[in-house]
Amino acid sequence: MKKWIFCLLLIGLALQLTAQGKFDVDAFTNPEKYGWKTWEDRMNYRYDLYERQKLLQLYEIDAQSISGNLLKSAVIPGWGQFNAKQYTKGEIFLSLEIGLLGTSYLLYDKALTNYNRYKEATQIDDINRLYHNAQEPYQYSIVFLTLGAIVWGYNLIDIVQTTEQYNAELWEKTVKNYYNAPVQITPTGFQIKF
Amino acid sequence: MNRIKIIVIPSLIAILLLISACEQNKLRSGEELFQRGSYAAAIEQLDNYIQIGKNGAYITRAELTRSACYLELGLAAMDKENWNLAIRLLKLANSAEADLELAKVYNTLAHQAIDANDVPKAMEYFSLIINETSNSDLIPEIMEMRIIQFLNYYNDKEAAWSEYMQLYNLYPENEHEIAAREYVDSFIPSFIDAAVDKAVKKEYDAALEDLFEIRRYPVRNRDRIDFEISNIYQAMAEIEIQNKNYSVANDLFLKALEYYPAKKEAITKRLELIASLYLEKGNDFLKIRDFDAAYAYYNKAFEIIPDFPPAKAAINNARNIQYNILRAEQIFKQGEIAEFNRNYPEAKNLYSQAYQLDKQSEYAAKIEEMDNLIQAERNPTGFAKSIITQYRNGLLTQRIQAQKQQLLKKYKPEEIRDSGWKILLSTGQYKYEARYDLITPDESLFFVWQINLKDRSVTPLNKMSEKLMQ
Repeated sequence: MKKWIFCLLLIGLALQLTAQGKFDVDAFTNPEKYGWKTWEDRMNYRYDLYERQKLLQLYEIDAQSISGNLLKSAVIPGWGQFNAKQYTKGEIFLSLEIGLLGTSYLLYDKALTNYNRYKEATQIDDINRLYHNAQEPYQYSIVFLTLGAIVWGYNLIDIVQTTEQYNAELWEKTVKNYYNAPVQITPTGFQIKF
Repeated sequence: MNRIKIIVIPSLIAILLLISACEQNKLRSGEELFQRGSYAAAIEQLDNYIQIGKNGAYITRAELTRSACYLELGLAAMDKENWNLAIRLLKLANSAEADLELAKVYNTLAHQAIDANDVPKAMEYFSLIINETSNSDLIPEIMEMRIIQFLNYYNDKEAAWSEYMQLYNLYPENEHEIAAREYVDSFIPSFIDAAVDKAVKKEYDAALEDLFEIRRYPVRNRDRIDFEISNIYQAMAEIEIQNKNYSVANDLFLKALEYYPAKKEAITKRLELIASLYLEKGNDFLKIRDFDAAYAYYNKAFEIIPDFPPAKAAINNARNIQYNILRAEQIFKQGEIAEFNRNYPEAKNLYSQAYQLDKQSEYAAKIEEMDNLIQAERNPTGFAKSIITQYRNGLLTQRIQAQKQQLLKKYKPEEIRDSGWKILLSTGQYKYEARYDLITPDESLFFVWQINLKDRSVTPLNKMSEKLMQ
């Protein structure tokens, strides 16, 4: 295992070195590499970038933190999705989690009851039957708990993507509102378009 | 418990990997590279992210960070005086801050070119600063440098002037603008001369345009410019006077005065002339009895010179005339009533009064008519005879006598019978016939005319009489 890791590191390093050897300064510093062939092209890009930069502050007000939503979904599955306004997803995760963990708990409780009875049993037939009755719900309980853990894990994966999607859409909405609205709230004040 | 570990731990690793692969972290890794000073690596990282990123906000931040990276690299290249590389990197930085640095690079290169006596190259760099780095503080200085080079190297005054106008428009009262005035003042007199030449060729609009353009700027020859502008307006006003556009001429004279008040006396005289011309025009309208137009022109004279005495006199005169005309019309009507009542002496008297007030030919005709009627009433035949004998200074009598002389060549005097003038009453009131017969044994000449006593008209009543009148 360690050999494999060492080999992979070596290959990575070799690739890095090869890549560095091919570094082309002319290409790297080519002023036209972003498609700005003229001064006007550069100015148009700059103007667009400045306009977007002004919107960043507005965007930051409503943008959601991935770690915050992750924490919420970790505590209560679906909470982060609710926060990101993905209500259906939130409901599915929450109900699935409640269902799976609840079922797991009920089965575990049943297994525990049977197990306690099994410990108190004195007849060999009762011992065998109660042990069997304790073992089966316990195994199902583990299965449901595992499913619950998988759903919880997927819920965490999903909240990262959901939050990113929410933020991406928020940006698009911010840009759209800015360019379409007659009255615009900018970081420096109000702007009215006639 | 082991089974749980087997499931949960890989899940957590997968989650952590996924989280680390999220967009925000890709951006952060680029930003961290920038903060660590690994600008080239940061640019690579950010370029890659910008191409695949989905969140416009993160992309914007990435682009801003990338710009900052290029700026830092550009500054490093400047430190090493690698100007070409610096230019390329600063262009890629594409920001206002980068422009300021880019201007410094161009300025350094321009001064190097000047030191190497390569002025065209230096001018290229100056142009780049002006055109590509408009926010640079160096621009006023560069523009001043360009003015100097336009004059000293290219001897192109027009270009120098154009540059100065831009300099003043963009940076008025800037120290470099003030310094540039000295150079500009050296050629402004020649520009004024050129404008005056245009005015001499009667290209007034072009000349004024040139002078006003110069006047907008703080040049030294302001007085002369104003004087020339005033002269041009004056010349234009004179042309308008010739074309009888007095209102336009007046405006032009006032403009001439506005630009050069020292000309007040001369221009006032010209204004008085225009006012007088208005009065003349008003008098023309007065002659054709268009009083409204006449008053309008008299009042225009006041617009030029308030309380202009000749205009006041003209208005008073017009009012008197208007009053006299009205009075004459009233008296004339009284005369017509007297005439209707056959009181011709009274009618004549009234018509004469009307004529005294308003010398109308109609009134004069009436006076004459009344005179005729008075005579016709007194002795109609005698008046008729006097009319025919005095017709065209006795022309008819003279010609009849000439005819008689012709007959005397052919006939003896006793063979010719001369009837003399015979006056007979004709058909119609105040109409009489005048006859004159010359009778011989072989031929007879019968002349006959009708006389209208009322108007003293004489009308031939046969061909012979008509011929005699010709």
